[in-house]
Amino acid sequence: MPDPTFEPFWKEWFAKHGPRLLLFARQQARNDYDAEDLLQEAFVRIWRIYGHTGEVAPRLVFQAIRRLAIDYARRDIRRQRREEKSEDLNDQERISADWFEMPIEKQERNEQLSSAIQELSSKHQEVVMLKVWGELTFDEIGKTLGIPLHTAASRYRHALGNLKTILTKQPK
Amino acid sequence: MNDSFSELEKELQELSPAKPTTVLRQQISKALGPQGDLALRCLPEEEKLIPFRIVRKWAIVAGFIFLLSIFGASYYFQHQHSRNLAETPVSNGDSPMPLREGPTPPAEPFKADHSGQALVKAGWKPLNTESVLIELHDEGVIHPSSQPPSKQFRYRYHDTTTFTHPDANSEMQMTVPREGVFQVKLQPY
Repeated sequence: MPDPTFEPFWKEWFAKHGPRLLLFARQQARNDYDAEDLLQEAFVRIWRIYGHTGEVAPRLVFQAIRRLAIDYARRDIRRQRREEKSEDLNDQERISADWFEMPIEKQERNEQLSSAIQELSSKHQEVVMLKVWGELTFDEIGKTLGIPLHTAASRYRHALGNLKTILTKQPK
Repeated sequence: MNDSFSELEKELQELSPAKPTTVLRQQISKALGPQGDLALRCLPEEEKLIPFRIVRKWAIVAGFIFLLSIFGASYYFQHQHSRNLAETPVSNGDSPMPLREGPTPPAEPFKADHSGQALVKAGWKPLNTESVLIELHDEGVIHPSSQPPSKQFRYRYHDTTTFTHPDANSEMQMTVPREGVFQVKLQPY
């Protein structure tokens, strides 16, 4: 029987980093179901290795998510597993697949931004995700994505440029 | 990034990613199993766990300081030891070897030998004389004929005399070895 005065450290860690990891997983996955699977598997793998230290760098989970996403894309068997599991899950919670929180006072602008981000190419999206919400340096982004630092910086600059263009085209 | 991008970046940063569902958290908890409870938190909010990298960094610093202190201590003791050795009379010969036991050596005033006298004749004046005991040898009990037995000690000195020549304004040192034998008569019971 677990002691109620103790709480597993991963819960606090996950409350802090979970949203940004899920956002990245959503960007990497084909759909929201796969995104949660990706996040769960990546987090559990990394936490099993480093969790006992109580200090896990989010970059490791970002990296694991990306590698798993590549594996998922290669192996279609994931789809079958997802379908089996989805029967047990609460469909009500599954419906909310917005990438970002949408407070009422900023809903319109946030929807514009979210939509613009989803119009970016996948390569630009992932760099923006890791830089803005992952709070990684270009060096860390380069290591996570397996690209040189300068390429990461250049992609980010181009992504912001494209994002700006998309936003100016959107009706206000 | 230029200014137009920084405004956009700021706007993006204000977007909060959607939180994971409770179902996902439950699934993770289940997947982690007992391993998820390896790192537990029961500390008050203001107390933070010390990250492992900080502990490691301080351990390295402490180890370095420890090694440095060992080297420092060994250097200090080595230096102290050599200084003590240098201060002993044997090594520099400034003072005669102390006599631990046995009789006092015979007080024989220095007498200039023939060479010294020759120097005096040549105008050199003896300034001072220093006798240094080089060796003290206990030769044991001897039995001279028609005399009671006695214990014999042999003293070896180096007598160094400094001469000065007032006319030439120069100095010269002359060292002459000297040996003395001293006998202590023994009273048989």
